[in-house]
Amino acid sequence: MSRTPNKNWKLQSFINSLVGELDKARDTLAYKSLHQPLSYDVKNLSLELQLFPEFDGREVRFKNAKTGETGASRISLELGSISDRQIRETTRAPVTKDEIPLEEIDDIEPEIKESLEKVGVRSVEDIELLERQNLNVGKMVERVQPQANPNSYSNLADRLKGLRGAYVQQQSQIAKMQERKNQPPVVKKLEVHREGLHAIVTLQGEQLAIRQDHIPTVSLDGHPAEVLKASANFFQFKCLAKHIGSEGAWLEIWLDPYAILKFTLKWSEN
Amino acid sequence: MEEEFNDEKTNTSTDPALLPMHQIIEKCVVPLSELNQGENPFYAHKIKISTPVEFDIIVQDDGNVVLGSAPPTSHYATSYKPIFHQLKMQITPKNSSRTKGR
Repeated sequence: MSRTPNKNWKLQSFINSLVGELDKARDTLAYKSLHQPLSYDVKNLSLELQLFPEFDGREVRFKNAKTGETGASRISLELGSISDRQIRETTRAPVTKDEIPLEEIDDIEPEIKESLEKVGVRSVEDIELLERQNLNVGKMVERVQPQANPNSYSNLADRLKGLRGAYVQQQSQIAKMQERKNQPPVVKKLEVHREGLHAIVTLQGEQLAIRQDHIPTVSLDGHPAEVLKASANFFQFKCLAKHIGSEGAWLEIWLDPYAILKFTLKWSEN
Repeated sequence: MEEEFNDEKTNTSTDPALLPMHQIIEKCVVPLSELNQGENPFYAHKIKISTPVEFDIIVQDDGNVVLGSAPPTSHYATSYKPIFHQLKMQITPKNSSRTKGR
């Protein structure tokens, strides 16, 4: 007897879980068939479930009928076998690496994304294809979702053009970040010399300022310092000696947007 | 004493009286294979099973569900009966040395 709280679920989640369970069982049976001359397999599996459907205005969810509950609806579902060839013929290819999936775009309202998915639009490329074919996305959505506002979809392709640029930029930033992660800066030696009112700080190491497209910046407790020399193995900057102080100062060296060195710098006691 | 079945991947407990769904299917099919071994010239070429089952459907935080199932755990008429769902399966032999040539 079930004692868990009665929570509602989506049919898709249920079917995914059921298919997963059937796959697990078939894997076990396939393994057993290796040792036995005659083995059996499940060809069809069907369920008749006692459920309460619920509709919240956007989607239908189901709740399992529990002990003592009457008036549940009976819902039948049947899982049949399907060959990989049939799957290829009846389903669309998944969103490829070069396409931009709609779920990754934060600037489109969730309702619009949902409506687009209902008409089979899953990526920015799908919308652009529809626009090229001169189809009206708003009208298509309106047909399946009469309450949708077709005006929200009228300039979608234009909006996405801007978003595509932003997305490509974001992806290139992620790639650069990853690239920098593989080449982390290493500090092997740090020296501080005093020159009158100024202090010259020299860092030696590897992979320090390796990006030519970015000018490194240094801040010492929030005071900017002047970068004298920046290369992969050598980095030097000048600051006012009083900014270091005997208490120590918080030093931040932004070698590039993806590599920041942070130290506490202070004069030694002697 | 309370014993619980813990699914390793999901870390979600279904009712201890119920099994994960795939075990129910395996428990129905595996004994058939064992029955039909040996020199017996006959074998079952289609078996249909239809049984009432209890279902426990656990909804996880991410919306995925975990299924627990078992044949009826209660056989006595009580004022509150558990809800029974119907599970139907068609079981057929796989291509093997016994079925070849059919």
